[in-house]
Amino acid sequence: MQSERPTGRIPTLVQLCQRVASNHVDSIYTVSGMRYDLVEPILENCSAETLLRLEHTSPDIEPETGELWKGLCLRTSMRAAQKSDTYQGPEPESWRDQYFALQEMEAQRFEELKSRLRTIRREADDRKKETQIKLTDRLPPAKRGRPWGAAYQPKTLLQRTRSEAVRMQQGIYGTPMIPMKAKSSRAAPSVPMVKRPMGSSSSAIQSTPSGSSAPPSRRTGSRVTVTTVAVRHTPASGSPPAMRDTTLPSTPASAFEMRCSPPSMSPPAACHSPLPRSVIAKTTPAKKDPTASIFMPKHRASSQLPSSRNATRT
Amino acid sequence: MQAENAAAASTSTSDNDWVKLISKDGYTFLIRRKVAMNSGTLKNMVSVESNFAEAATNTCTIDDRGIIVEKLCEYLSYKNLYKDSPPKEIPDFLERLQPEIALDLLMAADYYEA
Repeated sequence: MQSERPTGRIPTLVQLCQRVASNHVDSIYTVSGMRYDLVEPILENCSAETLLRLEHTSPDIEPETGELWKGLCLRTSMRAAQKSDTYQGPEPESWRDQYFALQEMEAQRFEELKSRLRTIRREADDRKKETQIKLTDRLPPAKRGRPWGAAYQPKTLLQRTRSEAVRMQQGIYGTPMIPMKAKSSRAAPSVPMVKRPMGSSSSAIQSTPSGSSAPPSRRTGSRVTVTTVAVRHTPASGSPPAMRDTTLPSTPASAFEMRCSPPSMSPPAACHSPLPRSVIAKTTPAKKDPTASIFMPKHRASSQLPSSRNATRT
Repeated sequence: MQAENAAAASTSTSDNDWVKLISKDGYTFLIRRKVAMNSGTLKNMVSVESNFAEAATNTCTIDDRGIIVEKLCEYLSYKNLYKDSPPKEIPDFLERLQPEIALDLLMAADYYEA
């Protein structure tokens, strides 16, 4: 008369109750008096602490909980699981004790790792602090601005120009080069020939014609000798600069030869320049003459230019 | 006559036959026989063929508290109602179980094979 119960469609009340109890297993005070097979599914899902507590309040389940403790051991400790796979001997008497021993080992390892991590962290922090900006009242140790005890003498114009020329020739980055306007003639005081044994370069002023087509040959090994030039006070006066790679039209070649000393030529040869120089001055075409500023110092600071522009060589 | 009686008995089991359950704290529950049949133990207790005293009076005394018996009856009705329907339409009974009675109900459910 009774129709067949469809299998597995509706969960049994037993199963439902077990599920509810598992969800609230921490609220269970005791399971004593209940059949173990009813309670087992509930205990399978509980933690070690709960299991221990329930064992205390329900002593009758204690004999049966070995399997439960074994399950806990294997679940919480990977190592125990690996060991048990290869373990051939008799099972431990009390899985419960085994479990707590394992817990102790785990706790120890954990502590070790913690302390190691702490030291590593601390070291990293210390390293970081060293590079941080610190506030302090004290002055930092003063840098040596100048070697102590060295007598200070202002560098003469000569010294300054000399060092500048050297720097330019060596191509030191940042050597200030101010393009000089084509100021009218200005004769620098006679600069004696200086030949300093400095590698391949001779000290000289490398004139920078203002706005000329020629880039200053900083990097060439050209030897430019310093000569005094009597430059006429005309925009067109002056001879082309003494640069080898300068392209200047309509300049008598002879002048070049005199001015642009070939590298092997010694500076004293330039002493003969005064003669052709005057020639040069006259034959220059009327154009903006870069050499007008041949002796204009690069820096205003070094300039000894009098207020009038008619400075000529003495 | 016996056939009539049997027929009468069979028709009476269909819808109008009620079974009385009495809890130990004095509560009385009436459920249809069809519903009671979902419990294996109850079925045996009130079965017409059995010799139990309950069979004659259609009354069972349950040694459980009223709440437990009520939940039991609730479940039996639920089961009876949905035992033939597809799974999608079956509502959840889990929510209707209070955790406080879970353990006692578990024991009763086991006893009555619900």
